[in-house]
Amino acid sequence: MRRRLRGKGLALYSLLIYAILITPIVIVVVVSFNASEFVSFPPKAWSILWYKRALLNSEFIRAFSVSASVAGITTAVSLVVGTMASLAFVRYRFFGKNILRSLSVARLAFPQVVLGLALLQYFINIGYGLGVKALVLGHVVVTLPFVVQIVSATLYGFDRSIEEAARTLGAGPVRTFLRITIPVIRPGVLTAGIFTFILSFDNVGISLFVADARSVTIPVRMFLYIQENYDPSIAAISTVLIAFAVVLVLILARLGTLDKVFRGRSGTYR
Amino acid sequence: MGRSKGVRVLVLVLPILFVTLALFVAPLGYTFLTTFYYHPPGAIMEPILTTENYSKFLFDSYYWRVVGNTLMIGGVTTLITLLIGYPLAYQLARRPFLKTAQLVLLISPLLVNVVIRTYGWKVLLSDVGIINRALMAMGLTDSPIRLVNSIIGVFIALAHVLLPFMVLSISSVLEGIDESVIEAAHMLGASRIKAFLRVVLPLSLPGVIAGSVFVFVRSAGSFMVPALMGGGRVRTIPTLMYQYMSHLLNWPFGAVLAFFMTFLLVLIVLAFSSTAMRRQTRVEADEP
Repeated sequence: MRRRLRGKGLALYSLLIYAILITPIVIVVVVSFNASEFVSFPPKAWSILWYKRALLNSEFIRAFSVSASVAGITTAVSLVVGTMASLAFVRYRFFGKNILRSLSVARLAFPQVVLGLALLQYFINIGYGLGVKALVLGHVVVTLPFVVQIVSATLYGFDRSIEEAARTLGAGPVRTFLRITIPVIRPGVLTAGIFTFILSFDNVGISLFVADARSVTIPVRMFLYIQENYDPSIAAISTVLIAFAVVLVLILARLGTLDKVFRGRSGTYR
Repeated sequence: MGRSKGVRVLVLVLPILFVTLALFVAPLGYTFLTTFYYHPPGAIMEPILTTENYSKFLFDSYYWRVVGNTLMIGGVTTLITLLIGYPLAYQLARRPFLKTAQLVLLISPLLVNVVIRTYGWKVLLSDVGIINRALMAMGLTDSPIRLVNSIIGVFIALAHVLLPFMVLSISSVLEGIDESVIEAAHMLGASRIKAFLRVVLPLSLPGVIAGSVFVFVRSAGSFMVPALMGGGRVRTIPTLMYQYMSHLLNWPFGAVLAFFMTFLLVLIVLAFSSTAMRRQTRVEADEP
């Protein structure tokens, strides 16, 4: 009896914490339908005025499309590079493997603003310039460790006898890879892809430094806007972004690979 | 056979090797060099070597206060997420009802960008926000407590987004603890509390350390949260870096700040994670 009560207490505590975690997000959604220019909660009158304002703001629209294309290209590059590296890390022993792996794992906890600052100086120095292509390269650097971590975790759980069976039945190495390996690791790769997209789309540390005037990303644009304005159009654009995030989360939940995402930081590939 | 394997590994590794060397090691190396560059009035920097950027930093107590502030934010945020997160991690590892739903709620702060989250907190915590009105209605305070534009708001917003990392880091280690070890402690006469303190807690330490290191580095390295929640009152190394790079256009000094912060964080991480690293190598050595 006491044991059950204790379990209930812990569950109740968790519920309270989860409620606190989502409160600021719920608040933003509610405020976005506020009719007044002055943010008050709960709103006294409702309106969709701020959605019209936000969607007519060409700076937001441009920033949104920059973020979407940077995140799209970053995801493609990171997935290819990261999956290749994971295959090498999990399946082969080679010279320098531990150093290379440590250098990419270290980036998970490396302060992004430091890397952003370094990339700004470096891109200017080598004459590469700033803008979308600089953003993509910078985002690949910070998202790649996540891809390696998630895909590696999937590969550790991979039963290689299926591949051997395919080879025994006469399939070549390319065919085995395409028909067996890829389908088996696909949930992991998809999860990594969704996370990479979110990380790149929401990135601030790198974008703050390597974006130029024409390639300001949506979080940085919102940051610059909120410095001078406090009206609910920022809440309206936020709500649109929250809706996207909800869709992505539902996909993640369906894939059932959520807990793989954070595995391995503690060194437990299981 | 051996040679074709070598070629295959090289092809697989080449892209990540390029990213690591050309886009991580080289930029940091170049930035380290620029910490010694000369900052002439009216220009960004010149490749004339000088140590004056370092002396400007080292002999001004203002910068040391900013360093102290940054480390304090890291420390307090780590402590908050640890205290709030441990019971949550325990629950997630031991009683996983509706686990996917719980995970979705837990990582929800990570799925929206920092400006959205901070805006929400600003509305909630403002002088006329719900929290202050509730406190005043309950008679706990006569005038609103300053929660936004202060260090308190910075702690709250940072703990909010970093809590999931702490919880998942601890719970993944807790899940790996063999139930029979705890049962053995009970059979040997340990009470629930004693079994927890003497068996579960020590075994979960690697997760606590890994989570703490991550939260510490992320909170000390955050730019947006102190910039938005601090209302100009909270100065940290990252906000100062942004100022020197974007507004004051003194890049060598920005680089000194960046390197000093990296140096400090690496020292702290090494000090705290040596035990976790030892455990990690043991785990990896067990792999086939």
